Formats: sequence, structure tokens, C-alpha cells
Amino acid sequence: MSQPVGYKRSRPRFEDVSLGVAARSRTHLPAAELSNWLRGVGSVLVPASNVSITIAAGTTKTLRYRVKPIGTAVVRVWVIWARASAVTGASSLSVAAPTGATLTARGVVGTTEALQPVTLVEPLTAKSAAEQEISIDLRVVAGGASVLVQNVMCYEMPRRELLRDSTDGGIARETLLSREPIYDEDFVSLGGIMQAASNIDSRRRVTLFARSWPDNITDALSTTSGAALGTNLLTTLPVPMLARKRYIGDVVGAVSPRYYVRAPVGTSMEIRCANGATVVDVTHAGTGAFAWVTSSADINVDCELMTASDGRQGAAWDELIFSWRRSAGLGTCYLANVSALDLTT
Amino acid sequence: MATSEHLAFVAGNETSLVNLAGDTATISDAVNNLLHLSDSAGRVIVCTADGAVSYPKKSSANTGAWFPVFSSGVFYPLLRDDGSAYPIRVRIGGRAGSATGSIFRIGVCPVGTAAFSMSGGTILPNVVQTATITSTTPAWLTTLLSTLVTLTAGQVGAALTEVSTYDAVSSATPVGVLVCPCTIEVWTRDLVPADDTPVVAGVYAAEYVGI
Repeated sequence: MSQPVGYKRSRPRFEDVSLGVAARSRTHLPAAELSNWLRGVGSVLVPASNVSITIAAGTTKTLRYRVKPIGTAVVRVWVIWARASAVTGASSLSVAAPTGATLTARGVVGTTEALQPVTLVEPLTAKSAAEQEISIDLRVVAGGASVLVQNVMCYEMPRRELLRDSTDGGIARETLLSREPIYDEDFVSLGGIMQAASNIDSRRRVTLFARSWPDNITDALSTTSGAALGTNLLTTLPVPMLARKRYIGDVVGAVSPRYYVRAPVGTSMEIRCANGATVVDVTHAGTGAFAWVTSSADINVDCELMTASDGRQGAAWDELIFSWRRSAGLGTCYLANVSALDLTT
Repeated sequence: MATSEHLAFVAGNETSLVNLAGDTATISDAVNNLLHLSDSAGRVIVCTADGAVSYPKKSSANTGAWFPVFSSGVFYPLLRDDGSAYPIRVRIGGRAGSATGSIFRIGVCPVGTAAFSMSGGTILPNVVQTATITSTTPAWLTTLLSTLVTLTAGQVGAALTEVSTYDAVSSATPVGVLVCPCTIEVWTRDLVPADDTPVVAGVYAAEYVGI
């Protein structure tokens, strides 16, 4: 039996399921194929995100991101958009993922050329659906020209075929062909479809926004300001945000902010995520080391309006504004990542 | 367009057949749920809100040509049952090089086609363009002709290619998957040769299937 992941989605016809008439087989098979496609196509873990750092020769910078994969991926792809500060052949950028892994060298062309993609394929050693940190090292060859890294993206490669197990949730397509008996069992027949379709966990978690700075006190964003929240902004522009439409009647969805920060022992910092007049603040007590702040409460944003051509409610964008300040103590506060995740099941 | 009957997930559907062999209402809701989960499986491809990116300054005078400013890097768009790509909701943030004005374009382009799509005289369905922007203060631009770009089945079909990956953790046996490698591109054009270059400060692109 096989559980292939199609290169495009299928479309079971709900019109074929009519009151008083048994659902027809051509509904069942496309439904199983759609379920396999849904679970097998990869997610974008880090949307192409601004970095804009210049890395000097012989220097390594590490970027960290907060993500929640769906759990079926076995390969990630990192795409770095970069340009050297000198002519072609003058430099190379070595990449490793996760941080500390073996660096792989990639050539980078010079300043008069357009930016170019540098790609790293990261095979995974385990499937995971847990919220977690993923990271990447960027190192410029010693003696080479410095390299401008403009943006970074990371996504999961699609699967070719799923397994019939609780992790992959693949459905054997042969069990849904015409004249096959109906079984109420896991990963086969109509029972497999019912199991997949009833589980909103099969919805892919989404990273809506991610912005990282290198995880050191020289390159990370820093502040000693105690100015009121709302004035010291983390991004130049507000961040566009639309959550998924879930149940009938939903008009908003919850978004979970995440931060990677550092403050001295005895110093506290506050970070605000605002959507219009609604604000969610989080306080971090310094430990002297970088740490993820995951305790922030969720904030509601518009969910997609499926009857609008582009999903926006009232043709308006919901936008998040992030700001921060040192709220107590002395010393400098640092921030190396701000993210917004759609984690709702 | 959206494919589910209720345009949302129906809660409370049975998780198994419970000896009904698939009664009509149960199967109908199950199909609706799978369709809605797939309709809403679109991903955010690009989301930057604090960039200050312009094309490399040319030593010669600006000719008013289109120049690439931003690229997402290669990704594989989700494909619909008719072979077209999930539409992509887009937005550009930026500022003009001077008050005389600059124009911005954003598009989704199969690899190798960006120059054709982004700099042509005709605006294709996979590209949208702003009106002339004269503000020199960075802001999300509100004059896009549309907020959606799309790739037709023909464009996708011409770009489909098989790439290698693995299908199990720690596997040493590569397998092939069929994908349509694309990039999100932002190109700009300045109206005055002596101006500073226009700046892109934000880019947003997210897959979306609506009605």
C-alpha cells in the first residue's frame, strides 16, 4: 500500500455527498489524497525576513528563530540572500544549521553584482512538532571580503510519501478504490479520512513574522531607554498580520508573540505587542544571558475572511506594532528575535 | 477560489465511522473540513517590516529602467487542483528616491523568468505595480493595482521540475519531488536619473485561497 503526497492538491466534491445518497467512491479517494497532500507539503518556518548585517572576514554570526513545525518534515531548506563587498570570487559564505554543525562553503559574488541566493539543505535527525528554536551559523571565509546578508528564509521540503503512523498520518490510497470494503481503522479507508478530517491539528502552524539579529551583544538590537512603551519601536513599519479562519463565525484569531532577549541580572525589560488599542505586554527579568520569552499572552488579529478576494476584513490590514524599554535597573537590554506565530489548534 | 462548503471548519464531527459506514452528513462534513484545512494551508512567504533596501548604485546615470531590489529566494508555492498556484496576497512598503517619484512592482516569478515578468511593459497576472510614489518617508504603499498575484496553470506547468530530497530521517536514499521553484520579487524604477534610489522598507507575501 502507498500514501503518496501529490505535487498539487486534489479536490473531493462535496456536491457528490448528498442527503439520502451514499457518498460515492470518487469523493473518498480524492479526500484521502487531499489529506496526504495536506500533511506532506512543507511549511514555511521562517518567512523571508530582513537581516541586513555585514559579516566581516573570519567572523561567524548566529541567527535563532522560534518555530512550530507540523511534524512530518525530514528536510529543511535555508535560503540566504547575500552579496560580497568586493568583486566576484573575493569571498565565500559558509553556512551551518543548526548552530555548531559543520560549515558548508558557498561562493558569494561582489558588490557590483546583484544579490544572490545561498542555499543550505538541512536533513533532520528527528521529526518534531514541538515549538522549538531553529538556528543557523553564517561565517565569512578568513581573508575574504565582508558579506552583506540581506534576508533569510527557511522552509520544509515536501514529502514524497507518508508513513501510516501517528506521526505522518498517511492514508493508504489503495484502500479507497472502487469496490474496496469500508473499514473504520487508522490510516486506511474511510476511517483514516474521518480521523484526518476531524483533527484540526492537521492544520499547519504558521510563522506569520520573524525578525532576527545575531545573538550577541554587538549585533543584537539594544536599548537603555526607559521611554514609555509604544515609542521605542522594534520595526520601522507595522507588521501586516492575518490569522487563519477556523470555525464558522470566527472573525479573529490568536497570534503568539515570541522574543529572544537578554538583560543584566537585576534589570528588567518590557516588550509590547499592540494591535490598535489592544496591547499585550510582557516583562523579562534579566539573567545575564539570552533567553526566549514565551510567556507572553496571545493577541487577537483579524482572521482571513474567506468571502473576500484577498482575505482582508473591510479591505483593511491588521498590523502589529512591537515596542520595548528597560523598565527597571541599569545596564543595556538586548533583543535578538521578535516573532509572531499562529499556534492555535 | 475557496473550495469548502462552509468556508470554515465544522466542529464536532465524528472522529470515526462508529459503524455507520459513512453516513452522508458525516462524510460531507469530513470533506468540508479537509477542503477548508487545505484552503487555509497558505503560508506567509515574506514578511519584512524594517528593511532599507535599494539596488546597488550605478556609476552611470540612472536610465529609468527597472531594477531588482528584493528577492525572497527560491520557494515552492502550493498548487491547486487545476494546476495553478495558490494566489499570493502582497504588500510593499517603501519610499521614493525623491519627490519626483518612483514606481514599485511586486510579483511571484518562476525561477528564470523574473527579468521578463518584472521589467516588461505589460503587467502580467503574476505582477502588480504601484502608482507613482512621491513620499520620501517609508510607509506601506496603498496604491497597488491589486493585492493578489497569481501564477496560471500554464506558468506553473512550464516551470515544474523534480528536485531531490529525502523521505525519512537520517536517510541516505534521495527521492524526487515535483515542485515549481519561484521567487517573490520586488523591482523599482526611479523617474529622475539624478535621484537617489527608491528604498524598499517592507515586503509581505502570503498564500491565500478565498472565494
